Amino acid sequence: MCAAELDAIYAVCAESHSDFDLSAADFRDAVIGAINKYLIGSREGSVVPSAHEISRFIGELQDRDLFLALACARGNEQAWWEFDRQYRSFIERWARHLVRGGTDADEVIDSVYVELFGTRISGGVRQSKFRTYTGRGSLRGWLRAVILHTVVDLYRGRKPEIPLEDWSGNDEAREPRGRFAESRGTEEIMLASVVRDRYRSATNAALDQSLAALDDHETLLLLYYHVEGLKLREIARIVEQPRSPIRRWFQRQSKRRGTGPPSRVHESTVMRWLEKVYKKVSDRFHAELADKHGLNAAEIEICRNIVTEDPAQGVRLDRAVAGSDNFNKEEAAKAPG
Amino acid sequence: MRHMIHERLKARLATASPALEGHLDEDAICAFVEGRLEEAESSPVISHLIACGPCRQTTAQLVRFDSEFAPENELTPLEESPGRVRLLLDRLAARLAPSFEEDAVFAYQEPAAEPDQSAEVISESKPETVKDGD
Repeated sequence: MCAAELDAIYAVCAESHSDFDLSAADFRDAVIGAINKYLIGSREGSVVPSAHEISRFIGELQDRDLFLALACARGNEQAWWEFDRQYRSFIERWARHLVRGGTDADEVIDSVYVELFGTRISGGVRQSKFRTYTGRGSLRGWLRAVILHTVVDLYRGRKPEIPLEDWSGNDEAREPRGRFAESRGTEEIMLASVVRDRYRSATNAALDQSLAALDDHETLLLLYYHVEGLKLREIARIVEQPRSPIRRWFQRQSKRRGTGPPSRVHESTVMRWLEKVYKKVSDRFHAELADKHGLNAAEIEICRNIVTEDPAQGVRLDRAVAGSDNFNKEEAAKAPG
Repeated sequence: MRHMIHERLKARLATASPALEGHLDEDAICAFVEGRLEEAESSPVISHLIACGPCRQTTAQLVRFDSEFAPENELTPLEESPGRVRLLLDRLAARLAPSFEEDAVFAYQEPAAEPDQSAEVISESKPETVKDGD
């Protein structure tokens, strides 16, 4: 059933571009490669996809894009002519958009074409970048990623990466251990510093545990928003596609998975998803600190402040230290370095 | 809580382990960003994006730049000048020569294997390589 479907797709493509000189066998091999990569490769164990799944997968392939890419990979001049006609202006504009410098952009464009054609030969076959395109996404989207990687490589080759320790968000970097105590020089402050370290340790452990308990979709949402700095409307673009895994996951969680036509994802929707994740982390965080670390409400509040505090301000520990059964002064004093 | 998570995630980034050895290729990145993957297909991709900063950054940048890229900058087929692509392919093929010669010396080739079309392109362009490379 799938073979007939594949043959039919090939026939349509070959009819449009008979001069591409791409055989049915080459096309079929490429589709099998895509099936192996996405449909079989993503499954655990030896679960074989059903004929229906394979048929659906083949139906979703960007077959014309794949046909063009395969012909280009083989160096067919007509295919390159078609590719250049359709995509050259896009490649140039996208490169200039990313780089914003004439010479650099020209270098990127040149590198992209060289990579697409392939400069390395392995097993007698020129390793064209086109060979890595499977047709799962659009050729245009694939080109964007290729161009972006080329830009990154260009700049990475010119200057060393910024060391991670330069990142200002690092707690350790912001407040080196012991410096706080040395500057004040009193035993009381040193003790407070040790206690603070214990709270900080409990806080980080509880927060890490809470974050680790999230589903992957929720974690990725947080990372896009907080680490990569994507705006809500930009995240909405990722999940705009009805088949976006993130979108579908959240819709399933809220049991509103579409029976009707898929609606647009607005910024408010993403914010609502984020709020749910915050609540989940918050609940777990409190439970971790209370149950696992045995902290009381006042101590949990200190823990919350520790994560977000301005190191210059410090946190008043007196009340909590005095009333705590868990982090008392003796225990704090005995705490290892 | 929001600020607390923000600070913690950034702090963890600072102490994160080095980037993974393997990265997602452009094909998988594109398929993910375009929302083309089924649940089972996207699962390993999402797991990778959580662990791999560079790949996650690539997907984020694609989305960010995409939102800045004006629709009029999308595909605009060009009228080709005659012979441009032939010249382009000749120029690209010319860059192959050094690695071709290396492979010709060191690479094992199946005696029965027939040279494919791409190999022919390479062979034909070889004499021009020295000229273009200068």
